[in-house]
Amino acid sequence: MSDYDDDMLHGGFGAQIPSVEPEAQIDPSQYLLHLTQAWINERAAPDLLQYEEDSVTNLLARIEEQTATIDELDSGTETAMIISILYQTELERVKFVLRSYLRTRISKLERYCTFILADPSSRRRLSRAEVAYAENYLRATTQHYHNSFLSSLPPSVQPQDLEVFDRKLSMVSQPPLDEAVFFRVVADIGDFQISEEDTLLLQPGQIYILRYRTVRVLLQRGQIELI
Amino acid sequence: MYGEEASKLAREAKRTIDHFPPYNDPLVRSITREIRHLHETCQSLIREYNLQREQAEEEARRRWQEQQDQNSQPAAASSSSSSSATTAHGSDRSDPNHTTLAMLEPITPLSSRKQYRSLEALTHELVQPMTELFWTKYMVHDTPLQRNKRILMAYHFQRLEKIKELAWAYNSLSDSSRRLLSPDEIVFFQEYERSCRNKYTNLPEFQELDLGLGLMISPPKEVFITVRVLKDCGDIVTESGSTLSLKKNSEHFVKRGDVERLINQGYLLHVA
Repeated sequence: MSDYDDDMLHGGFGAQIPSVEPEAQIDPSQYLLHLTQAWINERAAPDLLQYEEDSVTNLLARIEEQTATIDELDSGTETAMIISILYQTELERVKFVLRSYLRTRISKLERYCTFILADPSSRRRLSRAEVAYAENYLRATTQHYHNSFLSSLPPSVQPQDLEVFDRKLSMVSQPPLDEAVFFRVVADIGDFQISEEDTLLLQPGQIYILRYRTVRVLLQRGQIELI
Repeated sequence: MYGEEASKLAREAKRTIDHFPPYNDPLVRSITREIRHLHETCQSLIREYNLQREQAEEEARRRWQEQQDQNSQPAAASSSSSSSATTAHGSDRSDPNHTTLAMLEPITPLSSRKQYRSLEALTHELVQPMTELFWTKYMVHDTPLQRNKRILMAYHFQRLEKIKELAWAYNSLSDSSRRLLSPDEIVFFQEYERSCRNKYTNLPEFQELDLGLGLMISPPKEVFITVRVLKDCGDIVTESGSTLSLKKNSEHFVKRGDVERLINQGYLLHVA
């Protein structure tokens, strides 16, 4: 029985107990907490955020280890089976967060594909696989629009990235940075300039709603969490 | 009326936002035809306007010359005195719109600023109504052109969104959905599946993750769930290696991961 207890302590992703494995510098549950917050941020933010490479790679490695543990447990006694089910539940939930995180990014990437690829600062926030994805996606869609109807139009009407009517109505969709976001302050920020004239005292633990463009910097610095 | 077909297509797109109608090829074709027609009209309007404008400028120059000839006898003495002040201005008047003046200057070296203005005013007077008319006509044709294109883009975009959903939920196109797509859309589906979806989900680091699953609405609460079979799906092989026979109207207590995809595709109903 005591073996299983130990396993629970070491292997539990969500366990708040600090890891006792000597080789792990950071507790894996920290990665999970970090990624869960990143996932919430990603879902709430109108723009694509920085890819959390460390957390993703680390969690993927942990998932593999955990799957091996479960396989071992499954061939054991009845008690082992129950613990295995607990492990599996947790594993499925971690996988869910990861999947949802990656898919949320992909869906935003598809929506603002042209813009993100053309904008160096957005492009830097992607993982290598995402850049490849975006390039392939852009190629496929451009080709599709062209084949479906643009090819039968006069050449001057064919481009897919014009400004329509000279009214700054661009055909390239951009992330709506002026959207409002709810966020919780997690660091000591103090007075924060929200526009040219106004400043706002952002108190730790409080929840505010502001324009995403304004608080973007704070999010990048990790001083706020979106909700 | 211009834009009527396109507005039909826009309405269709809006109406069918929740389901997936077959590709409306005839309407798309007739809209592209209208765009081509509008574009030709715009082009001929531009040509016509340029021609008329040249004629008007010619006319203005002729009338101005006549006036000059009439005025030259009494005003010959006074015009020579003001000429020195205007020669400096000659150079910065050389933009392409005023080539007519540049051509005139060697012939009438005494042309003063005042005289130049009178020519400009005369030209303006003749060209202005023409320009206004041209822009009105041009806008009437160019606006529906841009609008038609925009609607076509939007229609195809909305369809692509649906096709992408299909691509994430299924591995290959079923016959029923194949019939709804245009040949180009089938090409897109295959291309999207191959170079976007599969390339990403089959990355070695994501092997464990089954990224190809449709996006779940809620996080998993339990490993085992009860499902009811809505449509026969035959036998499936579970993760542990055993086979499971899913017959219509039967209920099973299974591992969620094994049947996730079938639930998303509507074969199974998650009961509890």
